[in-house]
Amino acid sequence: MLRRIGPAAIGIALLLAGCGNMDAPTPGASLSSAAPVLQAAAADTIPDHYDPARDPAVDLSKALTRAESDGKEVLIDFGADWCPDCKVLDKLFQSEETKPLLQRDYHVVAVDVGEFDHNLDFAAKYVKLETSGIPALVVLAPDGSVLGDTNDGSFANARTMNSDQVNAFLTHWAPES
Amino acid sequence: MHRALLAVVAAASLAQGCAAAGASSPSAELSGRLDDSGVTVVAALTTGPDGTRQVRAVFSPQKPGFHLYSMDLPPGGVSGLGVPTTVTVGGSLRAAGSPTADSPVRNLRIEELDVDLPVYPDGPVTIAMPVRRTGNGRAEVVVTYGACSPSSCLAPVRDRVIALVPVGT
Repeated sequence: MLRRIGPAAIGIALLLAGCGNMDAPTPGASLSSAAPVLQAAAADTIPDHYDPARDPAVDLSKALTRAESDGKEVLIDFGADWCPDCKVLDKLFQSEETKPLLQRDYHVVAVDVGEFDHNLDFAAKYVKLETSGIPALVVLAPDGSVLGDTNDGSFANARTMNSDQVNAFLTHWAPES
Repeated sequence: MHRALLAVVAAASLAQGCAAAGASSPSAELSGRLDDSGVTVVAALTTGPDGTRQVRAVFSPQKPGFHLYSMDLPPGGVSGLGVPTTVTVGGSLRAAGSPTADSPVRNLRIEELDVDLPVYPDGPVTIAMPVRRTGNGRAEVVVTYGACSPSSCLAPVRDRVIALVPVGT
């Protein structure tokens, strides 16, 4: 669908997204300095790829239900396995510097957008892929309202990022303890 | 619009034909153009002085700092990453040889993923392929590609058909 409405425009937008400025990472923002005590509850498994077979609406519904009960937030990660920056972000999410922070504060939903031809109706409810590029992140409150996003393209160049920068985003939008 | 296309084809021919410039330069009979996902592709069917025909496809990223993946990249990429540039023909055209690129291949290292991806240098790359024509039906060039910069990638474009039309029409 997105291809029909303007693949060239998307391409240009993605070009721009790749140059987007990320909010300056908070120096020293780390799990040890900003994080409350880790919860003892069983931690979620953090998705390590974008599964095209999954139903994002179902995954999100389950994540919001869990968020309502435990006060965490929901992080939607839009991407695709062909995308190097998405794979780099996956790896950062699995790193020992970032994974505990994700598991403490978020329920993560990974949404495959294919080659900008999959799950686009779902994505359009939460993110502007034309400007965000991929990977793109959206933070939802337990009631489903959008708290934050990367519509500025700040994660489209994830391969240039490190755990401190990812953690700064996650900490910024984390639930207040 | 056709004038613009003609200008692009002429510019592409200039860019690719320096080594063979002069009276013996191949002339474009048919051409077509695609703009998708940050890349302009101008394809042309040319005939050399000896009557041999070839398809030349010039892939030009629309922003500086972007490159295309090599034809040498495996079809599924490396660890699923990357989209090999391909040029095939259809309609009234048949391949009469293998495609070749006018640019050297370099390896793009993505340290974080421990992969090396064969890519062409930033900017345009021309892929040429000997062809023969089997009739006067529609001549088609089919392209696949994906453009990236050192820090981000554009959406892949797969199996897009470029219909070639007579130059100057």
